Amino acid sequence: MIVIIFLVFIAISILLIIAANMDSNKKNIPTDSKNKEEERRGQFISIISHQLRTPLSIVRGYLEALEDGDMGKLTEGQKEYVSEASQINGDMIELVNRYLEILSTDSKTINVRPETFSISEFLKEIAKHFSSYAKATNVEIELDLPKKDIEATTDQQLLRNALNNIIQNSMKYTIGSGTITLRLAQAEKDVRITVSDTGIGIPKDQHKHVFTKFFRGKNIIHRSIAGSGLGLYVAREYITALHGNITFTSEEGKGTDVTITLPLQ
Amino acid sequence: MKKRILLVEDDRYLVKIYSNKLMQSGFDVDIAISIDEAVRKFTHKTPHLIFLDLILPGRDGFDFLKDLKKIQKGKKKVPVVILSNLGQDIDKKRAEELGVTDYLIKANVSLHDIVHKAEELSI
Repeated sequence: MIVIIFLVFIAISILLIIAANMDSNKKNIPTDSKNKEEERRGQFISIISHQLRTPLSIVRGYLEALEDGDMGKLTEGQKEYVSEASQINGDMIELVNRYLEILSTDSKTINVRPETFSISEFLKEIAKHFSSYAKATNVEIELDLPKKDIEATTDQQLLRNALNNIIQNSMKYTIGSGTITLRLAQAEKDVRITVSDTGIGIPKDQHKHVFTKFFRGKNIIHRSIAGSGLGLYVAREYITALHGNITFTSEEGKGTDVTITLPLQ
Repeated sequence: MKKRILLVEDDRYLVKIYSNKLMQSGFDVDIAISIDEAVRKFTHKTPHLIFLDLILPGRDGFDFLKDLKKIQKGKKKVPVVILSNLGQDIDKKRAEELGVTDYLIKANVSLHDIVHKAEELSI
């Protein structure tokens, strides 16, 4: 499972690099060639759709068949493992769908599906989702939530994807041990979610590049930490689609705070 | 009488997963891994429903839809559900123009969704 996810992740990274090159090549193309360029882009997206979604569909099918007991009754422990694997595979499908959406939404906006939900409960769920990975990497995940529940109307999946990207970054760059805090606060018309980590931070001279495609801090390049440099770029795309804002502060060697501000409605 | 489904799919893992689930749910399943085989099986024994992948070796699912139009001219149409991982608007529009009943993206549907679709359309 992990191997498949890793391969899919690598494949997404490579394909997005190719896509980015297609974008940059497009700049000086005369208008009469742009249709052909769009056609090529469409074909490229078709290939990615087929090649990335197919292994995930297969894993989904096998896991659902197991969950249904088609191969025999599962023990409680087996059910838990299969269910968690299903959740991870589902997250990866969603991620691939979103990447495809970004690739194919050259001019149109990301499709937003708003719903009203408790942000406090949502953050608890996210912290739980990361807890076993955090434990394995010696990182503490803490929640700092206001006493009063905060509800917002936004696209839960887009927000989840953005936060997943941010937290995954924090996990990766909080090396050895440390703490990641998910903090929630409400202003008059906004809700503010901050992910703070005690990781290696981002060098000051690179701050202006943080949300650009394929950015990787120069202090991590030699540390053999895998990454595509797309996490924060994509997170910003999602948050922008939600009419929100994403900012950060960071100090090398001390940590990074990434803050998402979203309208309550 | 069991309803017959023609599953046009070339991925051996998906063939196994989908056909097992559909058979367990009470359907007869015919499998075709290419368009030529699909045409042969369709002509030999008309199914109640077709699940059709789009990317196949050689001729693709759109070619099958064109063949089907000719074969079924003047006859009652068998519902076709696209079951593919292609999902761009242009693919959906093209399939719709060729008369498909529904369009499902494999990665985004559960086995239960597929069985429900089969129960709903194989009448």
